[in-house]
Amino acid sequence: MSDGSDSLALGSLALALVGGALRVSTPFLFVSLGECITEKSGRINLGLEGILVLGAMSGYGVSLLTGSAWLGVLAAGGCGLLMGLLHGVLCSLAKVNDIAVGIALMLFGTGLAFFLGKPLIQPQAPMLPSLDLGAWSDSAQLQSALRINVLLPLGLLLAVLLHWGLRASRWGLALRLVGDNAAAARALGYPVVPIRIGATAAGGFLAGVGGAFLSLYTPAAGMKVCPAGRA
Amino acid sequence: MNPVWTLFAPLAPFTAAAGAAALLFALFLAAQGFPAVEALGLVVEGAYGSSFAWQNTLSRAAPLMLTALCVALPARAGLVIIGGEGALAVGALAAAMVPSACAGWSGLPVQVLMALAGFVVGGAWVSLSAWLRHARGVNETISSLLLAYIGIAVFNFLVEGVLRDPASLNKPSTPPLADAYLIGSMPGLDVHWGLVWGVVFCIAAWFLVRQTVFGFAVGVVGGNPRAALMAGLPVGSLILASCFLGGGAAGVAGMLEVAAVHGSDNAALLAGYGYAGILVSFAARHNPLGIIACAILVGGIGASGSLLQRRLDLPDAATLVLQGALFVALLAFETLNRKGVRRV
Repeated sequence: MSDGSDSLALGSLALALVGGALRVSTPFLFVSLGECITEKSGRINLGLEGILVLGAMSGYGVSLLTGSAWLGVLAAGGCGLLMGLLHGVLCSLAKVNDIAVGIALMLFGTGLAFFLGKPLIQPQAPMLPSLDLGAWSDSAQLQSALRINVLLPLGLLLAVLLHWGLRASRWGLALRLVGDNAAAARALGYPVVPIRIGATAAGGFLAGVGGAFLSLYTPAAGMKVCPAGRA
Repeated sequence: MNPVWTLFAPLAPFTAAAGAAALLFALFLAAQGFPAVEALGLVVEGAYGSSFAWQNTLSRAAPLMLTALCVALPARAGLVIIGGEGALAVGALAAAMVPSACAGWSGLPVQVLMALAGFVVGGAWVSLSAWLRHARGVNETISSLLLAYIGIAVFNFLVEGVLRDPASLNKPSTPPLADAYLIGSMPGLDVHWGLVWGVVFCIAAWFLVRQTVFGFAVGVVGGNPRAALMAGLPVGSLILASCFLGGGAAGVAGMLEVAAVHGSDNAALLAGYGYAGILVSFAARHNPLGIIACAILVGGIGASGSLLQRRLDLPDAATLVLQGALFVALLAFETLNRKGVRRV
């Protein structure tokens, strides 16, 4: 085998790796961002796995009903928001453990998704569009590697925004203060419990959006393929 | 307070939660036009309505008792371990490898060796999380969950790879166990001996936790690790030991699934007993004797699934919804407990 074909094989392997990474990373990205917000407020929501699956189901269902994939994404986020809200409110009761509630919601969300999603296995819902970043190239491999979904740049943008917001903004400081030292936050007049509930709900929203990607972009995923994608 | 009240007061939050979960489930079904009352009746009938239903329920309760111990024993030491499914997978894997290593042996020694292999490997798997927690400060809940994914992946990798029986064409499995090594049913019943194992393990765990110095020391570690250090207790060893025993129980559950139910390792073996065991343990508030009762309850919910599917055409996930609702309600009603029960 000549050196030329070796480097070509290596090149296409690297290309396939990058393309694959770009394709499957989106749900991880959104769930991680959501969990980041939640954990900065001092709580752990292990139920994001269930929210992810529920988001996949509701996003697919609403996209099917309304004919708009973006409404599906919104509905998935809304479902995630409600589940996050449930987690946040339950954990605000005395003697309720956030990790245990997370596990319970994981079970509950998965059950709901499989129950309600059963009629959705057959029909084909409208999918999210993809961006062809590789259109300038003649290489078909490069084109397919760089064909990314629209949620990925959104998620990357969100990550940068969140980084800036947590460091430099007033609400970012308040969120971190609530997480790091609840007593100090209370002394400064920040409402600790509502901030935590809000942060958990926001985290749930993002996890739901990540779930919508699973069902509205991943080709031929349908409802039954919902991998263990929690960050 | 009168003695009857003190006896039943601890059960009040549980009863309230079970009622709330049933109500939630009924409303959920009614909202979609399913006959809710009939469905609840079918859950009871499918779980406890006939001797067949009871046998189905008890067969499911057996592994649940063991996987619940994988949550309850570490919880005693203050750790929230949720990776029982992984310990079950690697335990089943280890148990299924034993017979090929001792060909020609008679039944009982091989069965004992299989159980030991499942116990040791499952225990070591969960001990990894405890060690990470103690030595490296890693959150044991997350690490045990992630280790469960790894254990399941290793299981699937080996069963579909080097351990695969070439004769299993469309359902990758390890070679089937010889009949002599299978664990049979109890006389007169269609329930395998694993139920007895589960009950014995639970009673032994209760004795260990409540009646021994070791159990007391583990309880001190769970209550306040720094006070335990001050008292000179070997905190790390106690955490490791309680996780090893818990993981071992889940590993034995895996061994039982191989030797008593499936006869070989295949993907059907990982039916989520490890995850349902978390629910069982929390419902029993990590009390090993309570686990026996709660395993029968949760096993009953699982057993009623096929009846709900057949009679009302509900999706098979209906039992999962009910279990989830029960779990959420249980935790929410924990807040009603006025007595200072330790949070884990």
